[in-house]
Amino acid sequence: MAAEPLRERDDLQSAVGAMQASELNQLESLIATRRRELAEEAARARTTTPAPVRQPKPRTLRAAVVWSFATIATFYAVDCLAFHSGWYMKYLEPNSSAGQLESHIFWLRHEPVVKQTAVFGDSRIGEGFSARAATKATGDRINFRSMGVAGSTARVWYYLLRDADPDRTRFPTVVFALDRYSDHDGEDQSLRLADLKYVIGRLRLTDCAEFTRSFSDAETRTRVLSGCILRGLVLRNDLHALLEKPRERFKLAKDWRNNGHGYLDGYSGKPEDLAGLTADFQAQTLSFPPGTKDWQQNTARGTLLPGPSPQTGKLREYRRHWLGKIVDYYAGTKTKVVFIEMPRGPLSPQEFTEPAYFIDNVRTRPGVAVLPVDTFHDLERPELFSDGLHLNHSGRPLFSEHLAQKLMELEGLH
Amino acid sequence: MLFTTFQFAIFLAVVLALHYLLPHPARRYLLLISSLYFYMAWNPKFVILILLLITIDFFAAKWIVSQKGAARRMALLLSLAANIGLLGWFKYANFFRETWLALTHPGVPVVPMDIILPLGISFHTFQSISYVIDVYRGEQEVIKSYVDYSLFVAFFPQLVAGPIVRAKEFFHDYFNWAPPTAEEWQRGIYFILTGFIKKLIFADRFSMVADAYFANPQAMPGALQAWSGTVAFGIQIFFDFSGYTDIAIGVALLFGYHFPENFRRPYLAATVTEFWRRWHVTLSSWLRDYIYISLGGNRSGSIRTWANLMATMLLGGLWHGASWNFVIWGGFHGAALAVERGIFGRGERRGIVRIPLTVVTFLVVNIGWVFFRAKGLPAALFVVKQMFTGDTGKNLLTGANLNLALLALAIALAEEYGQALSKLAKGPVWARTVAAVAALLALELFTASDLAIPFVYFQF
Repeated sequence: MAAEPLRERDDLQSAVGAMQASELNQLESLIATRRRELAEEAARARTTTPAPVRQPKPRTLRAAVVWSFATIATFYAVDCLAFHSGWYMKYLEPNSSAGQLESHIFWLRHEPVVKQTAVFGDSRIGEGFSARAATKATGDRINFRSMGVAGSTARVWYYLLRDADPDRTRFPTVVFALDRYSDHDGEDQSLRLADLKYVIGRLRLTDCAEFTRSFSDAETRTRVLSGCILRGLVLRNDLHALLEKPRERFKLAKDWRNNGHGYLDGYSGKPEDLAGLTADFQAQTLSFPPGTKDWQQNTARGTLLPGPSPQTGKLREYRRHWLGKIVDYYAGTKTKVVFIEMPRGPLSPQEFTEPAYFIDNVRTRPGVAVLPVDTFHDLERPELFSDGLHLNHSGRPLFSEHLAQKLMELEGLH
Repeated sequence: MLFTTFQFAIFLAVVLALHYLLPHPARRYLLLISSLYFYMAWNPKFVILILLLITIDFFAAKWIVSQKGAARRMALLLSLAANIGLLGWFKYANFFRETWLALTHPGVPVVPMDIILPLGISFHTFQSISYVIDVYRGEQEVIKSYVDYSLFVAFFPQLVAGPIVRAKEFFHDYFNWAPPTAEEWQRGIYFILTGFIKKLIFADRFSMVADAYFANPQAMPGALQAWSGTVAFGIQIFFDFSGYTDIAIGVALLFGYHFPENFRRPYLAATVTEFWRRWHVTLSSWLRDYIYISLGGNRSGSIRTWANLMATMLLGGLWHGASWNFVIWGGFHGAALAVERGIFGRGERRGIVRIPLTVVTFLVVNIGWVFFRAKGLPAALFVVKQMFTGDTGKNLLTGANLNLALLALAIALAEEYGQALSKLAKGPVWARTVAAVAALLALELFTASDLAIPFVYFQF
């Protein structure tokens, strides 16, 4: 009987003797762990009544797969609570892409419902249009609302509009400010991944397929689809900034929710101008007045001397889809959709040769109006622009009043 | 097809679903075809190379067991020549040619030959070589089925960057295959999530600092810049590589295969010797079993042992890349191992002395990383010089980097001394679910980059 353990000991000894250093270390670590476990078990045995032994139920692979899906579902539920419930959207950085959009929606939902003419556009509207000045110019017969969001495009406007006017009754007139009527291709707007950051709070799960398809390359589509489903992927930079200074963010977001619309309404525009700017379009050169900053020069060059770009019809398709959806949204309602071409720059630039396919097609549709292309050409003066794109504090009231007058004419209010 | 892409997630979901829907005999074909597809997603033409090596090694092993004496040795040499020859051509031809021309025609600019390094060649050739040598040594039975052997070499979780799986490990699971238990499945999921966290949250964030510094270290002189840029790389490469192997281990577990552990908290090592027992374990054990021991190991006195250590580490360095920097990196570690053996012998450091030794080892290993990461020898020497003689300079690591490093250290210590993660993995189901949900949220919200940054070890 005693020979058996001794033989095992010999076997052990020879096995240990054959081990490499790393294996010895592993063995030592295992022995130490086991010693600790035995000591803990002994301590437990001394202090507690032994529990009845229960055999664990054998768990199958099916149970593990179910657990995996349940875990994913729990994760998604937490994600939805934070980012799809609207809770986080209240604390976005107000000047961020999504923050600008969410602010507009918040104000609309928390202000008394008033019939308003909403003017949609990018930063050209944000800088160049004053709802207060426009309303005043009509003697309060038209109440204007600026919906300008810096960096936004037609795709963004559609989702903003859909939630801004869910019943299609809030706005008797909606105005869309295009940089040019011409469908001249410049930047491929269908590739703008940034659009996802603007509309992230507006996208519903049912929008994900169409929104994703509207981006034209596979890699971008993958990122858009995953961002549409998991909003945290898109909002994480905003979240990191919030976590760095939470108190400041909550304070800022609250102030902006309560007073931001008033701040925007009272904004009077940038003081800079480009008075003295001249162009030689033949030689493709611009002469800037002394003291012109780089950001002013760069935007002026981009607007007045755009480089050659291949004309592929992408902008036409893009506008047909997204502006077409906007027009369709109000089809059969009392709301009038108006398109305008913004003042194009601090000087009148060369005309694009590409026709205005979308505008020419849409102008005949009922409920749609297109202001003449040259309506605001008289504002294309360097003293009215702060840079190559944006009207300044002198141009802002002029444009606002001019637009108000034209809409009065359109409404037959003169 | 990077593990961190949407494309791979779809691929894995489809292969996994098919694997469990198909009858058992069909699964090996599914895994082989999907593994070859996985490889071809990078560059289809190189599948011919991997199939060629598989074919040579498969028949060489059969030849070895069917012959005796010199014929056996001939079959082994043929297999080794094919593996090392192809590895040498694709990986080292330019290096040796440039070195030769620099010696024979100094000062003449050398135009490198247009050779693309096939993905994962260093890993699958080592795996194949170990199989053939094991068969030769009588430690591994010859595999009779070409499909079975092909799957061993090409199995997609480990094909590109390891871990280097031995034939006996793989075929033990393969011939005794059973579906993973619920615990194994969950462990697989944990490995995958841990791997993603290591790569996307830790490695990619530290890579921003390391890449910025090593892009042009001369533009950022200063001791603190050199140390922080290098430490950033040291942390990046650990999380990057161990993250990859964690994902590989986890994916394999979902299919019912158990890959060996490849990293054991290497930066808690108190000596360089211990570091190599914790870092890229499957490579260091491969080098030990097939080079160090073949050279005589420690059986022929101290000087021969040191020489064997140095030779093994030089080859290990060269395995990583075809440049003198990698040779120096290997030599640096070889020298450190030899010196340690001279000072400490083979004993393990224990007690409080481990703390300062761990810090020293971490710094020594990081000095080695300079040669691993820098572009060329002059840049590496510049960084090392800055480390010791440069002005104080400024720390490149951000607050986020430091917080992550401290978090990682705390987790490593908790696992090393309290098996915290292992206990969590065996804990109640709600705790495991909370941990998995927290991991998923962390991945969603704290991933460092929107772009899929390739794994560092893909270049080897």
